[in-house]
Order: sequence, then C-alpha cells, then structure tokens
Amino acid sequence: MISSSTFHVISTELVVGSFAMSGLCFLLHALCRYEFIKSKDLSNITDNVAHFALLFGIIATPFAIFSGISASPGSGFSTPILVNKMFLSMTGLGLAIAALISRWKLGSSILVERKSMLIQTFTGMSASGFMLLTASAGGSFARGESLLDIFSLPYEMVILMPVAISAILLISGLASTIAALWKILGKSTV
Amino acid sequence: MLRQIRILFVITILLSLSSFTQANPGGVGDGVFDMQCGGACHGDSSLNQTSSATILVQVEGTPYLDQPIAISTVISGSQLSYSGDLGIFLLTDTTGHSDTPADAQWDILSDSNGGTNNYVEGKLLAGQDNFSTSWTIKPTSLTATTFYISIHHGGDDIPYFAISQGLEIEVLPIPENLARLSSDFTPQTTRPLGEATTVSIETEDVSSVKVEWKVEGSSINTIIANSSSDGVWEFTAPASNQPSAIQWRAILEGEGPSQTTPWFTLVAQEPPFEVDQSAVYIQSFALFIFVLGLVLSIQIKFSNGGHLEKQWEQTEQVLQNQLSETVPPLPNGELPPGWNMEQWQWYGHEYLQELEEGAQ
Repeated sequence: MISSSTFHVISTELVVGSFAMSGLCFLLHALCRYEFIKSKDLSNITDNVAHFALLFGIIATPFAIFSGISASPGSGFSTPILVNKMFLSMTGLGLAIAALISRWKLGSSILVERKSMLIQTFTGMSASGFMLLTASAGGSFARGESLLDIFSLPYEMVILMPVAISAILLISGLASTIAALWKILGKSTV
Repeated sequence: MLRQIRILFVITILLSLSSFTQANPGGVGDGVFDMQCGGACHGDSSLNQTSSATILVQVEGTPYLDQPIAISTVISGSQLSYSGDLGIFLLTDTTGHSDTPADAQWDILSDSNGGTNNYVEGKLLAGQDNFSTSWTIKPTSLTATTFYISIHHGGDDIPYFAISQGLEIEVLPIPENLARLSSDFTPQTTRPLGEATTVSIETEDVSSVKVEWKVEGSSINTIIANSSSDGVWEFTAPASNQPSAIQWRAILEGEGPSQTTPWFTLVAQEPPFEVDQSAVYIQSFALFIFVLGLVLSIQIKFSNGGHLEKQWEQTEQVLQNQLSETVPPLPNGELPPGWNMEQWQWYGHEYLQELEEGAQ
C-alpha cells in the first residue's frame, strides 16, 4: 500500500517526463520540416516519439489528477493553486488527446501540409506547456518554489466562470467534438 | 476492441479507487470524525502500531448543564518528531463509531484551531517535544460522559495510534442564581486580520463581567466588559495583523455564586479559500472538451484529410475504364471527318477494319 501523495509523485513524474519528451520531439520535428535540421530519419523518429510519448502521458494524467486531489490536505480545492492545476491539466489533456486523434485518424498527411503541420506542432507543444505549468504550480504548492517563479505566474488568481458559461462551453465543445469525430470516422478509408 | 476498452476501463477505475483509499500522511484537515476515521484516513487500521507518546488530559471548569468547560491535552514523546504532523481526536468512547462529543450530547463551542471540530491537526515544530491543544465544550443534558483523547501520527512509513485514559465528567444541575453564560451563547471563534473585534457575551444572573485575555506566551490582560443591553456584555479584542490566536475568559459576578468561564480561543486568520467544487469540475471538463473539439475541427479544415475520397465510391473510375476499353483507338489521334465520339464508340472498329482491308 502506498499513500496518495506518493502515488501522485509517481504519476506526475510519468506525466511530466512523457509530456516534456513529447514537446521536445514536436519542436525537433518542426525544425526538420522547415529544414533547419536536415535529417529525414530524425523527422520520422521525432514524429513517432512525440506521439507515443503523448499517448503515455495521456494514460498517466488521470491518475495524477485524481491522486493529487486525494493527496491534497483538507478536502478538495483548499487553495487557488489546486483549482488552477485542475484547469491547466484538463486543458493540456484536451490538447494532447486532440493531437493524438488527429495524427491517428488523419494520418501522416497532417504533417505534410504546412498549415496542418503547424497546427499539430502547436497543439502538441501547447499540451506539453500546459502540463509543465501544472507541474510548476504543484511545486509552488508543495514546496513554495518552482523554476517558473521567475515569470511570477498568478497561481493565486482563479478565473472561475459562471456555471452557465461553462455549460455553454461544454455543450459547444461536445457538439464540435462529436461533429469532428463523425467527420473523421466518416472519412475512414475502410 | 470493445473488450480491450472494457478491460482498460476496469483497470483505470480500480487504480483510481485505490488512490482514494490510501493513507493521508499530509492529513485530511480538521473535521468532525469518529475514531474509526483514524484508521481509514491516516493509514490502514490493520497496520497501525501503538505510539509511545504520552497524553495528558485536563478539565477546566465545573460541568454545569449548558455551561462551557474546557478539555485540554498535552501530547509528548520522541516518536512525534518523525513527521511532525499530528491528528488529535476528542472522543466519548472507544468503539470507533458514534463516539464524537455530539453523540454523547455535548456541543463543541471552539477548538484551538478556530473551528468547532472534535478532530484537529497540528504540527510539531522543530525543537518542540510536546504539543498542546484544547476544546471548549458544553453539555446539553444531565449525563455522565467519559472523554478520551486519541492521536495519530506517522513515522518510519508506519501509522501510529494512541489513546488516553478515560476522563469521566458528570454534568451537574445549575445552582440557583449562578452567574452564568446564556445557554444559547456561542463564542466567536474566528475573525479577519487587521480589525479590532467586538466580542459579545450573553449572560444570565450577571451584574458585572471582567474579561481576561492573552496571546500565547505573554501575560494576561484584564478589561471590564461593557453592558450593551440586558444580559449582553461586550469587550473589544485588539486587531491582529498576523495570523494568530488570542484566548479569553470571562469572570462573571452576580447575586449568586460567581463563575469563571473556561478559556475561549479567537483565531485571526485570512478568510479561507472557498470555491464551488462542482463549478470547478464543470469548467475543467468544459475546457477539456472545448479545446479537443476546437483542435479537431481546425485540423479537419486544414489537413489533406478534407479531400479524402471514399474508396467505395468508384463509379466514375469504372465508367472511364469501361470507356477506355470499349472505344477503339483514334486514327492519328483524332476523329475521322464527319464522325462524332458516340458514333466512333460504336462503329469505329468497323471503320478501322475497312481501313486495314483497303490498305491491303
């Protein structure tokens, strides 16, 4: 038996490591595509590693989120940092899943076209950025300091929308996700 | 595929549940808990070991019906310094359930952390070898109750547990004309930082009230409370610019026997962070699903996938193939004069045959 906080440390290390590697590979892939680095092998490798690392990070993220809630002192969201961590990690998770589905269902063509390649790279790197911000907030919460403190990020400020606005966002998000998935699956080459 | 998803789902649920049922070495926060929670919240009760800590319990005040008394405890022992975190329960039996003061018809008016909980958490600071805490409670019925103090703390990756000897308290009826606090008096336990606080004391059979207050580690200050209305007395506690606690007690005098209340704790603290948890969860999920849908929609728009063709839609290709198979090749790449394409498709081969025979 291990405690929630130990399990949280294990899962967050997996998440942060995976997403950091994924973000780095997305960056390298973009550099290859723009021929700042001229290596076809590296282009293929970074494509594979970026997306597999993303998949691994996605699998570990729910464990990190729930063990984090369980390990936090008091009940649930006792400080603004914990609320911001929840928002950042869920946004990062959404971006990561979107990047993975795009690559999986739309194929390598999204890395050939310039615009879609840029969107894919931006999405993957944003997912990594959000997860690293989440980890930084965790450091500020647990130890009172973090590497990103140099940016004086406003972790103590919570932007909590009214439930009605969240519900509208949720419904529009669900609608656009279902429509997009319908379109993607409808275009299956089977 | 469905089977694999089902297995993954079950494993995920099991792993998630396990994280909720683990020990909480960082504590769970103050609250009203049965002793059973000590096993569930601080470690597996089957793994608990007995702590070597010493627990001293004291009662201050006479336990009259509806009148407050204080129960204070001092916990000491070298094992406490392993983690420093300490959870302390005020209990009314040792069965593990239905053992809070409320279960024995006692109200908690204040605890030393500024709440009204039977379970409080504390931290042993470096260099300290003991920890003190107290509760102000009042009986709501004429009864005899045995109180216990139970503690939980960590160390060596093992949860430790200890419980004090029982301390029996028998509630007495109120003597006639006893100068006393009103039975519905509830002391203020918290206040904001940086503001002087006017504290009201509701009394019965009282003609004058003297208040003693102190900050931990300093001397006692005495002030005379002013009567604001019939039976209600007020005094002003000085402002505190830092999170801290003052303790105060009232010396009540009247025609009958005088009485000194137990020490009440008034904690100055920043207002606690409160948030609607369901709103946080809804917004989190909304952000998740919104960015997911947004990125997928944009990718579909810009990717080559938008021009993907359905492989089963082959009508045009088949027609073209059929056409290329049935139409005879054009002589010199163009239709003979006077022919159209439809005529050529059906009769072109005869024209070519005649052309070949003429040439021979």
